[in-house]
Order: sequence, then C-alpha cells, then structure tokens
Amino acid sequence: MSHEGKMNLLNLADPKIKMLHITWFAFFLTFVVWFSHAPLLVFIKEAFDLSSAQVKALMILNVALTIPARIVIGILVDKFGPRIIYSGLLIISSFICIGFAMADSFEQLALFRFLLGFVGAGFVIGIRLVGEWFPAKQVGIAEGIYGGWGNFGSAAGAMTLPTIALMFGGDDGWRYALGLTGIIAGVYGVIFYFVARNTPKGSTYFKPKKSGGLEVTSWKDFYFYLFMNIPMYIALAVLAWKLSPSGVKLLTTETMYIMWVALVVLFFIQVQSIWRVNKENLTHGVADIEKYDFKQVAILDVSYFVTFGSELAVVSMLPLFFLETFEGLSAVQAGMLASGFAFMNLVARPTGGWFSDKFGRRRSLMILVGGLAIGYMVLSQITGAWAIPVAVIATMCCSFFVQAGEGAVFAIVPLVKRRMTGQIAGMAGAYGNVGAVTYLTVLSFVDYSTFFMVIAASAALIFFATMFLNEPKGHMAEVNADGTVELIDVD
Amino acid sequence: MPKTNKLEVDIASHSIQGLKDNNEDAVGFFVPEELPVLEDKGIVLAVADGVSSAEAGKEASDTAITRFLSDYYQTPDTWSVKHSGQKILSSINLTLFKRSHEFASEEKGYLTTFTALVLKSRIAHFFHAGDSRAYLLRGNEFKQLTRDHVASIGSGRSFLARAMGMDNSIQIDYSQFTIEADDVLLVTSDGIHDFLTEEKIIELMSAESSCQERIEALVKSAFDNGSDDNISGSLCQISSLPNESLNDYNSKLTRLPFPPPLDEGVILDGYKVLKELFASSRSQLYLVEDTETGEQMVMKTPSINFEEDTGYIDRFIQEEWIGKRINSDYVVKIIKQQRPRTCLYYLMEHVQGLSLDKWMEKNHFPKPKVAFNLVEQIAKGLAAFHKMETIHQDLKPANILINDENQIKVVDFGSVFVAGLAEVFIPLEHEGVLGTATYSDPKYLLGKNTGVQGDLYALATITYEIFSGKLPYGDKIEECQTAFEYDRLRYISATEANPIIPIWFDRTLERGVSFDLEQRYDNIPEFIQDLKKPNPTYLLDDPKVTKNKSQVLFWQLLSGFWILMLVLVVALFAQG
Repeated sequence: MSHEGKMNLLNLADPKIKMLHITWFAFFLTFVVWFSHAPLLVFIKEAFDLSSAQVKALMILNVALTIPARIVIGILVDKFGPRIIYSGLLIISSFICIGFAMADSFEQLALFRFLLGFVGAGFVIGIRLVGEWFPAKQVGIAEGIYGGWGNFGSAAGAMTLPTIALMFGGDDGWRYALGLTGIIAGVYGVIFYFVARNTPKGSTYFKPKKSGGLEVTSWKDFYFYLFMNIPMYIALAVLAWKLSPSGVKLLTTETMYIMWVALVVLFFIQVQSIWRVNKENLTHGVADIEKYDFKQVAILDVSYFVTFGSELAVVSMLPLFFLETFEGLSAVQAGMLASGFAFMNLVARPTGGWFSDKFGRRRSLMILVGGLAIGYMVLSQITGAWAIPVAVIATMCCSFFVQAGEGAVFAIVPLVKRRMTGQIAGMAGAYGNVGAVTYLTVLSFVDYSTFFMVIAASAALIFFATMFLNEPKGHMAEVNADGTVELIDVD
Repeated sequence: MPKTNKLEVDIASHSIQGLKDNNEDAVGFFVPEELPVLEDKGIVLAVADGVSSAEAGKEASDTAITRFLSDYYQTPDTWSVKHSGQKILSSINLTLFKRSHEFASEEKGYLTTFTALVLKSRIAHFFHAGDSRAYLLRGNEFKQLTRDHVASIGSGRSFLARAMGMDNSIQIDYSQFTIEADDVLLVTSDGIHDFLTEEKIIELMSAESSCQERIEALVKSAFDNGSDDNISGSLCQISSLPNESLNDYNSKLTRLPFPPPLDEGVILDGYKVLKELFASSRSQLYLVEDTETGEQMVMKTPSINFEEDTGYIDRFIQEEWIGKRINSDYVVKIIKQQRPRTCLYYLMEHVQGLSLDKWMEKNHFPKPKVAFNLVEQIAKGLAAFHKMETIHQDLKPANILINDENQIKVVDFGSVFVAGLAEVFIPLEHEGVLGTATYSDPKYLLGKNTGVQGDLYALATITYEIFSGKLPYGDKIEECQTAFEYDRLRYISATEANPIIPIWFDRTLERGVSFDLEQRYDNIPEFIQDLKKPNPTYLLDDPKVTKNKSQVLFWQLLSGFWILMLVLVVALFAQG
C-alpha cells in the first residue's frame, strides 16, 4: 500500500518537478521519432512502390534492435550517468532519422529503420533519472507520468505528421516531415545536456555494483531464468528469416545463417554472463531474506509482452489499418483516428499504477489483461461496415486496458526484489519488445483481423498466468482513526 | 566444546613470588559479561614485571595491570583497539614516570615491563614493552610474538632497555593478527620463559587440562627448573570465534521494518508528524512532536527504496549509533528514545536554521569576520567527530545549518567511517561510494581512505565557497570520475572571484584543497591557523599559473605550423 504524495506538476521552481518535465519530454521525442514512420507509411509505400510484405517488414525492423539495445543502454547509463546518454541518444537518433528521410531505396529504408530501433531504449534512461530525484512516496507517480506522457509521443506523431507532410507538399512531403522530427530531437538533445542534472545538487550518482544480469536465488530459478531468455533470441531469429530470400529478400540466405549462428553464440555468452553473476549466490546459498520467486518476474515479463508488445505493434499498423479498412479516408484523417489508441497513454498508464495500489496487485493485473483480451477480440471484428466513431471508441477502450496494464506491471516491478528493480524492469521491457516483434511478425503472415485475434488469444493465455502472481508481502501500514500508524506483518 | 556465536575463551592466570622476598610481578585478565562490551572492547590478558632494582617495582606493576584493565574498558567504543591501548598505556607511563621522580635516588623508581593481549572479534592485538613475553601456539606452530627489549653489555649480562615509567614518553610495540579457534595464547614474565625450554613450554601449553591447571603447571615447572625470579603468566585458549552467518547478521539488522511514508497528523510510536521537512530518494525527515512531552524533534526515516539493501540498513543504523556518541555544540544531538520502537528510524534535536548552501546564496561575499567564524565552528564540529576516531566523509553545505545568531550545527552523520567499527568482522561489503562529488576528497571517491585529510578537503572547499561563492576547481569537478579527469582540473584562485582575498589566504585554501596528499595540510588546526595569520612562505608571490596555459598554446601553434609545412611539402613534391 503506498501513499501518494501530492505533486504539484506546475511548480517549476521545484528542481525535481522541472527535471520530470524535461525528462518526460525527452522520452516523448524518442517516441515521436521511433514511430514517425507509422502515419506516413502510405506515402512511403507509394514513393517506393513497396509490397505489403515489405511494409510489414519495415514495421518489424523498427522494433527489433530495441531488444538488445535496452541492455546496452542500461550498462552505459550505469557507467556514464543518464544525462549524457540521453543527450547522446537523441542526437544520434536525429542523424539516423534524417538518414531515413533521405533514403532512396528500400534497402536504405530498412537499414535506417532498423538502426532507429535503438532509440526505443530511451525508457530505461529516464527511469533511472526519475528514480534519483524523487522520494519513495512520489516516485511511482513520477515514473507513471514519465512513461505515459512519453509514450504519448507516438500519438502526437500520428496526429501531426501527415498534416505536416501535406504542408510541405509534393511527393517528398513525408521526407521533410520526418527530417523535421529528427532535427527537433537533435536540438533537444543538446538542450537536455545543458539543462539536466544526473542527481539533485550535492548527491553523487551511485553506481550499482553488479551489472550484467539478474540475480536469482535458487537453482530452479536459474534454469527458469535461462529458459525465459530464449524467446528473445527466437524472435530475432525469426526476424532474420523474414528478411532472407524467403521473406523480403533484404538478406542473403548465407547472411541469415550467419545471423542465426551469431544469435546462438550471443545466447551462450549471455548464459555465461548470468552464470558469472550468480555463481556465488548459487554455490554458497543465499540468506533467507534475499530469496525471491523468479516466477513473479516471469509473470511480469509475459504481462508486459502482451500489453506493451501489443501497443507497439498496434501503433505501428493502425493508421494503415484505418486507411485500408475504411473508404474515403485521407492519410491525415487516418492518422488522427489511429492516434486515439496511444492518446489514452496520458491518463491510462498512471491510472493503471493507481489501480494496482488500490485494488491489489494480482487482481488489477488480471482484470486489465482480461479486459484487453476482450478489447482485442472486439477490434478483430472491425470491418468497413462499422461506423468510424464506433471503431475509434473501441480502439480507445481497448487501449485503456493495454496501457493501464503497462502501468500496473511497472507498479509491481519494484516490489518483487527492491535491489533488482533495474534488472527486472529491463527484462520486462525487453519482453515488451519481443512481444512487438512477435505480433508484427504474425501480422506479416495474416490479415488484420486475424492479427487482433492472435493478440486476444495470447492475452487469454496470459490471463491464466497472472493468476499465479503472489501478492507481494512485507509489512503493511495501517492508519487508525486517531491517527496512529500501526505496522501489520503480512506474510 | 559447545559452539556459540561469540568470542569464547578458557582463561586463567597464576603468579608466585618464587625464591624472592616479594612478588613484584602482576598479572590479570578480564572477560566482559555484557555482549556489547565483549564485542566492542574484547578480552584482555596482561602481565607486568616490576623492575626489582627499583624500589617501587611492585607498585608499578600492580598499577599497570589494574589501571590497564579498568581504563581500557572505559575508552569510547569508537576508538580502535590500537588507539585505546596506546592512549591508556602512555597515560599510565606518565603517571609512573612522575612518581619515579618524586624520589631523589635513581634506584627508587616505578618501573615495570608490560605485555598485554587484547582479543576482539577475530583479531588479537598485543601491546608490549620490556622483557615479558607473549606467545602463540597454533596446532604445531609455536611463535614468540614479542621482541625482548633488552640490551646486552657483554659477558652474558644484559639489562632492560625499555620499561614503563622509565621516561616521560614510551614506545609501545604493537601488532595484530587473526586468531583461530583452539589457538593458545600465553603471556609470561621472565621468571617463566628464562627457565623453560621452548619444547617444555609447548608441551605444557598444549596439555589436555584446563587453562588454570596448565598455567599452574608452567609456573611450577619453571620453579622446579631453578627459577630465582617471580614467576607469573596468563594463559588463554580460544574455544569459539564470533562468525555471524549472513542470515544471522541480516536478521539482527532487519528486525525492525521500515516505516511507511508518513503523512501529516499521523502518529507513530507516540510521535505525531507535524510536517515533512525533507524527502529525497534516500531518506525522509519529518518534524514530529512527542505526544507525551510536547517536545518537538526531527525524525529521520529510511526510504523504502532500500528496503532490502542490507548495506543501506547497516549505514542507517550506524548513523544513529555514531550520533549518540558525539557530544558537541556544533553537531546535532541524537535523542535517546524512551519508548520502544516498532520500526527503523531515529530522532534528532530540531535545529532551526538555514542550510549553509542556501545561506551562501543569500550572502555573497560575507564579512570576513562572520565567514571566518563560521569556518571555525565547522572545524570544531569536525573535531568532535575526529576525537571519536570517526571521519565524517560527507561534509557539505546542505549538511550544515546556521541559525539566526550565526551558530552552526552539522546535521548529518552520513558516511561516517569509524575506526573501531571497522575492526569488527562485518560479513557484508558496502557497495558504491558514499560522499558527494562536489565536496568530497577525490582520492576518497577513487577508493582510497584518506582519513582526516578527506574531511579537511571538504572543509577547505566549503571555506573557499563561503568566501568566494564558487568552487575551487570550477563546476566541472562534479563530473569527474577518473583520476585522469581530476588531473585535468586546475585550481582557480579565490581572488579572481572575490578580489579582497589576500594571496596568503588563497594559498592556504589552495593547499587545503590540493589533490596531492603530501601538499595538503594533514591536520585541521594547522589549516585554521594559516587562515588566521599569514604564513610567511605564502607571501612570496610566484606567478606560476599563467605559464601553464601559454605553454600548451605554444605547442598547439607549433604543431599546426608543422602540419601546414608537411602538407605544403607533400603538395610541392607530388607535383614534381
């Protein structure tokens, strides 16, 4: 149970509020840049005369690199501090974005989109930063605002980019629109460097001792953890296959085999690194107080797979979906309607955290995952015959459950094992991206309706998984009528 | 033998006058009953051999033993064993010396040898002066720990070269080593060890009897071998060593749960929260009122972000423990709690005032007299820490409060390093570096414990900032992480920021914040002294600073010129 401190978000004189605004805006821009292609896909498709398969390949490529990027960024943040890494990320992504805007072949488009996947790892940087500035009482809300308002960047992009492209006009309007987002990101990267601080004045940035893997506390959990790492490699392997001659022919068959081998090697390197981090704990045993159930982490991982994963996938394809399903829509209108999905982020994500605090962790997560399963099932029934407003309302309702689910997951993350919060968050985030890659890969095989069905079905399965979540234990504080605080042992 | 989790020994002593008229030996040991004392101070066994040619040899040895045993246990628990032992012994020595000089004749003196072993946690320390001895028997290894302080004057005669009471200062031999279970330790006067062979001593030390029986056997054996001196010794065998497993240590520490974030009006353990004074990602401070007495005080609570971080909990508990022992007008006092606690927090007196960093913002270029007075008070606050052999390690303006009468108080015990505590075997390793980048000694941040000089660096930096409003190495110091980056920083003269600062004052500050430990002052009083009065060596003005800059520029220009020439040559010859 947590008390929510009152936070005056307009009090810019308070340095931590100022930092929060600066940081969520940085994250917002990364999302604008990351999904800047989604509302403009119709223009890009025309300009390069792309097949449907190629378009879907672009969507998948966009989210692929993020999976390993999160780990790399996490390590860099631990080493150099959030400020310089976030600036660096924004500036580098601006160059890549401009590169994408100037591409003149499908191969180049694919390359730059793939590289842009790196920018999706910005999330972890801000989380670390927010964690340094806010006291325990407020950090949950602060992170919810950071995540939610940041994620809204994709909606903002969907709303404005088609209009901007049309304003620039001509066949290349979309290039200018994309380039513009890149430039804004780059400029803000520089601003961020000068305005942001790693920590409040006077405290040092703490470097965590062991980075390189999650720490588990029993042999059973160790194998479980190794097993849970496999889907990430499978997702990347399937992506490699998709890009090979059997798919969009971006890679040769030999290159595909090389990538597969590289993935296997990487997997073994990761296993070794995990062993190294955990060797001492496993051989010497761990104090009882340090023990925790890895199952909790696994459940959070799959929950984030279906919530955040589906969000990324849907945001990538929704504008195009509206365009192709409904007659007579312009790109601008399609973008606007599709933006409704990510728009809910502004309130849904922080609300999900609040739900989780108020109604219990397990129950909230179950309700939200169950809700989104139903939501996607509804979406799978959308046809051209539907009234457009109804379709939009359906997407917004569904998205509420999706994003509230994300908020709920992250509210639980710090409660599994405080010390490993960063690692657990990292793994959940990676799973979110694996979800995105998985769902978009599914989309490349089937039509839109089946795509939504698949998400709904997976959500139903994961609904059953969430039933196994343990309510985090510890001491609960109760405030009595006369104001005295009592601590109750909850075990 | 039953295994428990604390230091347990079998210990005994014995002393006879032998063939002499008096027994001028003294011997003793002490095993504390209360666990805290056992853990903080340890077990002592000691022997003192009064010099028989001096008239008051017996009184000397008696004094030495009784005073050591009582005074050692009165020393503050933050003092290390070494410091405690040395301080007590030098005090006893002085007493004996003074008494010796009350006698006109040289032969009447209060002289005695002294050898003591202190066993604390898993380490044995010995203090030694004279020709009494300490031995260690471990399994088959037998070792004489001490060196006899005797001088030989030929033809087999020797005399005592060092003894307590001989001079007004004494050099005590000190060393430490780790002990293991079943070790046997022995201290003896020369009445034993001059008359028994090593083999005999080993044989009697390792006998299968109680320590009392063994020491009596040793004494008797020496007597039987013709010892003509007083015969004394103390024998100790280690039965078990404290080795708290990680689990036990954890449960001891985390017995108390963390309090939840507190709202106004809520009452915890009878303390009503009036308002939240401060909250950071690491801790919270609340102004509370004792519902029984109405007294207002400050409650510090740990942040639940660190709920399972044993290193953090360890430090939090240590803060209170240390705060309780420091008593100074310049350091905030910890309030002892009358009611039992249900969760982890501690109480401090409420100090009204502005923190020094805010004060500095409001008072640019304060009057030198005011500023200097503040610095002196901070130095006194630091002295209170150092007297207890603790280093603050995290002094910064945010930790110092100033009230309306310009009186300061240090309100944080942050990362205090306690010499005494460091000797107790703590199974957890502390992670990360404590200390604030702006005010902490870079050497410390890079991993080296610089002791008092570290706090001096912080004090000098703060002094610089009070007088000039800026940091001595500029703002870039906050970003430095490696030795290389620190090397690139250059001291900025305080006179640049505040022209009224004289050169000698600036030089004092420069030395105070020097990265080089040899250059930096090694004690605070000297630093303060030089701030008050111009140190003549600083009055010599040598303009070193500018030369540095222009040299780099010179080489840059020269290199540029060379590159240009190279390009020209290549261009010319390529065409040809």
